[in-house]
Amino acid sequence: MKQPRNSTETDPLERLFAAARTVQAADEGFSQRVASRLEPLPPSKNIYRIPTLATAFVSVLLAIWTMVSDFDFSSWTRRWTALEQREDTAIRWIQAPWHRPNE
Amino acid sequence: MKKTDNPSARIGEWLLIRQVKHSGSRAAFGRLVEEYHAPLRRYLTHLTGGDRFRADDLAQEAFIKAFTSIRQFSGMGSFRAWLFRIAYRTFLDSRRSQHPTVAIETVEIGSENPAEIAILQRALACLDDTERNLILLSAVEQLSHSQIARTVEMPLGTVKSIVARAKAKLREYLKNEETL
Repeated sequence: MKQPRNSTETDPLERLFAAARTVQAADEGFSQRVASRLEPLPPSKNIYRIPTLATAFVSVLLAIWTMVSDFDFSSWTRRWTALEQREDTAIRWIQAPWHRPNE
Repeated sequence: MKKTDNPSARIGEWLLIRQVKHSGSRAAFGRLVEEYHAPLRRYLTHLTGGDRFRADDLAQEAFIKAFTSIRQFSGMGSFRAWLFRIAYRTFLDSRRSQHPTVAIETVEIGSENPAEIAILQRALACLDDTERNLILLSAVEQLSHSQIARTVEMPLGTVKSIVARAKAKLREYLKNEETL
């Protein structure tokens, strides 16, 4: 039975590409020349990691502290409600004469 | 099968890149140079129309650029494709700094099939820089179309159509060459 021939044998263009792939570049000191021209790299500046890690660490500490200290979240709700219900003196936008209460 | 298709070779390569990124190890980068200088120099030799000396200069420059900017390499894609990208940019820069309209000279280079290489060099000279680059990456360096698309920052469809167009031009050139 006749075997199908691959395209590299039949197609002239593919034959040229196959020939191009055989081009070898011997080292001949190339790697050494490159190595001799390499300047030392500055130290890695991964300082963005510091705030990220610090935030993560503080978050974990906070979570542990709330668990261990039996933190009362309901007291915060009460405080918040009291704050909302507080009646303050309105800010005076128009200048008014100042009177001391005992005058 | 290329050496870098092997999973253990890829892990080895990844470790070397990591070493270079973190400690700036020149010895580790030297091993990467040893691994990739041959395909890179071959690619640049074809790209420069067979000018081995110029190809070596460009390859050297490309490796130095790769070393200084290795921290920009994400590690997600192929290191080989990333190197080719730097090499192509270096080639384009050198063309711009010389004469923008200078034609590529065909120079004989040593290989197993010098006659065929010479024909290919003449045929490649008919293509523009982009077509030549893409056909070399695809047909000679055997990068996949998606790898090429990432390397040259072009849509996949554009890469496929340019490669097909370049092949058609080369076939046309060869047909005309045969009839002469």
